[in-house]
Amino acid sequence: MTDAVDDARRRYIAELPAFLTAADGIKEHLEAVARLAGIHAEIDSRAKTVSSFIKKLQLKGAQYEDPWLGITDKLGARMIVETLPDLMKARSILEDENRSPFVVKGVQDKSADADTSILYYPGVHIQVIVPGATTSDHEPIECEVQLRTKAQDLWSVPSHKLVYKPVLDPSRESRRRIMRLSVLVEIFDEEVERAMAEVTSMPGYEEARLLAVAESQFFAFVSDPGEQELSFEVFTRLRPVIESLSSNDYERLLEEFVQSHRSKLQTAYEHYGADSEFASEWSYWLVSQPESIVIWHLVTDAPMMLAGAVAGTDLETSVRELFAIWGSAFPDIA
Amino acid sequence: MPDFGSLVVDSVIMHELPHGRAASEVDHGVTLTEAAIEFGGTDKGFLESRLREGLGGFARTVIEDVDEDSPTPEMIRGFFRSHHDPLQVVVDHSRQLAIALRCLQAPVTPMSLFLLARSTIEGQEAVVIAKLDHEQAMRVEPTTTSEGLLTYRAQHLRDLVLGQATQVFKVAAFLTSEVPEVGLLSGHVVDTQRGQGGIADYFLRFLGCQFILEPRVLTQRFFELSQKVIRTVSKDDPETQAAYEIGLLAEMQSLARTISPEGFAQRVLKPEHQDTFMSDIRANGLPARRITKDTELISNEIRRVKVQTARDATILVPPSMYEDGSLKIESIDQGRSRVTIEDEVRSITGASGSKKP
Repeated sequence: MTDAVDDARRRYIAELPAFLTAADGIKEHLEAVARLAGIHAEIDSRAKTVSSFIKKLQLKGAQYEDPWLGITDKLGARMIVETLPDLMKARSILEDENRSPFVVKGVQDKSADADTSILYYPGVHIQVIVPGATTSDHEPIECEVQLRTKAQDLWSVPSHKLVYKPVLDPSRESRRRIMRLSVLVEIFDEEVERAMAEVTSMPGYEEARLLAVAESQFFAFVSDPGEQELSFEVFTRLRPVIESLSSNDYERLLEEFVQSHRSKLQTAYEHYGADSEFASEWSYWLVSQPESIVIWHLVTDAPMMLAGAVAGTDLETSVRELFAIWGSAFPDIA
Repeated sequence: MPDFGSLVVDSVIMHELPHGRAASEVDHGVTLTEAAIEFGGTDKGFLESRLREGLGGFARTVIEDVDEDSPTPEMIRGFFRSHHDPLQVVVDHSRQLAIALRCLQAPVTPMSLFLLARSTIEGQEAVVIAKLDHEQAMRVEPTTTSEGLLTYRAQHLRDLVLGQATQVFKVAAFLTSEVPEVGLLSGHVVDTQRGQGGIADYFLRFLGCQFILEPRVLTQRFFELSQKVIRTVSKDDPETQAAYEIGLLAEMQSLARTISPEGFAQRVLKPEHQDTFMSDIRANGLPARRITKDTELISNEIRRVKVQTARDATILVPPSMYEDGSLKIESIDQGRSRVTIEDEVRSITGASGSKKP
């Protein structure tokens, strides 16, 4: 072991607590990126164990001019998203200096770099500096963020064990067998992306998605699903208002609203909802519909836009009742 | 401001007030009832939603006015402190208050109902006092003629209250936490005032309260808050900022005696900025729909549009020059704008400015 390699080993052992703290920090930052992108992501992070760091030093330490700097994955994080479009959303935020919480040191994307005839690791590695995390001598701590779809991750785990870090060197055939599976991953992700594009461009898709978002909160208060046809009509009118509040993560906004108004919503549904005397009153039909929870959110956060969207339509009378129940007045729309 | 959406009515009593003002407390003419209303079906929920809407949408904070000779503040204190049967207290107090209101209301006031409701707001005991004017409508029911033909019977109704289109009526709410044993009580009153000396002033005098903010202070707050919001929402957009500032000055300089923040938002601001503006209006306790305009405190600030540049140039222009296109502000690039003034130059003089650091 050279002096430089041994210095790196000693230094890593001494600095490990800072890397463990940084591992927690980067996880929180990546969760914030997922929220900003409006996507679901499984995120984990880890500082290399001392034994893993030493193994890597033994294998590759001699190749580096400075082994401490050469090993860039002392801290690693994995962000597993569902689809390729989700991956692109997360990546675009990570690489956007105005929106990313990180300073990006480098991006490795073999799908962009590799020759078309070559099989390659499907996934993106982004080297970032963890905000506020430093070693004891104030060196910024970097992290290798692996960004993958679920399908890419499915392929990566066995390939890591069998090809990248095997107990025994695999044969050429075994290596080829694993590598060619990456093509299935590529096909899978691209077909899912294409199917999603087809489905989301179907008429009524956005309304159906909003209804699903509303129902996911509404059913915590009411078990009756309401009339779907009415919901679609209401959401067609409300969609521009909802999209002006959040273009990609209305689910989170609604969830936050429900969390902070749970007791008031409970009372409103009990007194005016499907199981109340008001159920048979035409002016109150909206209270029995899942979209009522969205309307109460808009009464709170965007009353002017909501009133502008429904004033003069058949919905106005019913929406006025929701304003009144909530303790608010329907804006005087000219 | 409390969350009036949490208002729950416990017991309610109503008394009918004849039209006009009573000659004296003895000869009051009020039809005094003796028991609380018995609700059925959707009655209580409907009343609650109307009270919530009125208070939540339009209430302003009031404070006891010691110069006003009104029995109401003492009655409200008694209401919260009484150890007698709560229902009997509602009945007794409401009868006395109804008589007091009949003695104060305007001679032209039409027949109405006085309402007192023992309630809870945000879980704490509260008393709601309202005066409900009768509304007219028509009921139509299917029937058959003497020849057996299907038709409708139409009936003119004159005794309706709290119709769905009625948002503003005379209503006040007092919460137990705002009624101290010693010291001035405060409460919340829906602002029906139509200018100083307006027809509804008697309701405020009856309550023995006054609005915390006078019209000139309200007007100043509206103006300053509007400028703050305008600066925030149009920070990187000088053209929009200019249009908003001009709109605000036009609102302040107009001959209208009231300002409607909601109306201003709709006329002047882009849809995406209206809710931010109204949210700030409400958060600062300003009325959403009507402020009696008094520009005394801001008269110097509303004469000219002031354009200030990064390199310390100042341009003062009458709003009319923007409206007729004589002043133009265009974005060029990288945050820079071009200001063009088209007019006849009368003079160019030296002037004081901020000192160089």
